[in-house]
Amino acid sequence: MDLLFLFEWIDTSMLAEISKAYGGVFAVVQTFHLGAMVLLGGMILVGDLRLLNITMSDIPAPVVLKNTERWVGYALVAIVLSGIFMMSAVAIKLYYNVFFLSKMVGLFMGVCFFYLIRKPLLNGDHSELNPWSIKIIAVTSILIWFSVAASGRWIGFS
Amino acid sequence: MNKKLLERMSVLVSVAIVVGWGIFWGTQVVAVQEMLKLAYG
Repeated sequence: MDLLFLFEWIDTSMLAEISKAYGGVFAVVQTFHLGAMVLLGGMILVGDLRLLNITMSDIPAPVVLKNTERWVGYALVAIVLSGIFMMSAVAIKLYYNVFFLSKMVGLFMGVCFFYLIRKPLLNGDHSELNPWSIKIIAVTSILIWFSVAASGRWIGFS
Repeated sequence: MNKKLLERMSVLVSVAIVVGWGIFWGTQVVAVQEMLKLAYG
């Protein structure tokens, strides 16, 4: 499916006019985008490292997950909203950028993995789960989100 | 959904993602090296 029309529409939208004309506004939104990414990455990593018994092993894993998952949701909303604004400034360029596509696919996978697998399975008591199942889920989660972050960084190099 | 079934499916999906990730980046080693060279010299 060709999504060029969507990128062209964003490129000519009022949002794009603002993001292209006001560098200061772009910079402020970018700050929120980066802050939200730090929050998301931090919360994911805290939860996953706890599942791997590397950090905070004195606190039960379900407690750590319960307290971090809420912030992942807030961070995702902030990332998507600020990301749409930022991409509107260079929409056509991003359409042809393979790392942007890679980042979006990774983000979609990460969100699906988080809300369809990690959250429903690991909410509640972990005693009935195989410890290796928990570990493979934590490693997969780290891999997915690392790929999203790396692809995002690579957009800047390409 | 039954928790045991969800656990099995989760492990299956996770293993598929990890293996796919490894195969994909395994085929991209040269490309990644070139890009790191371009980025950092």
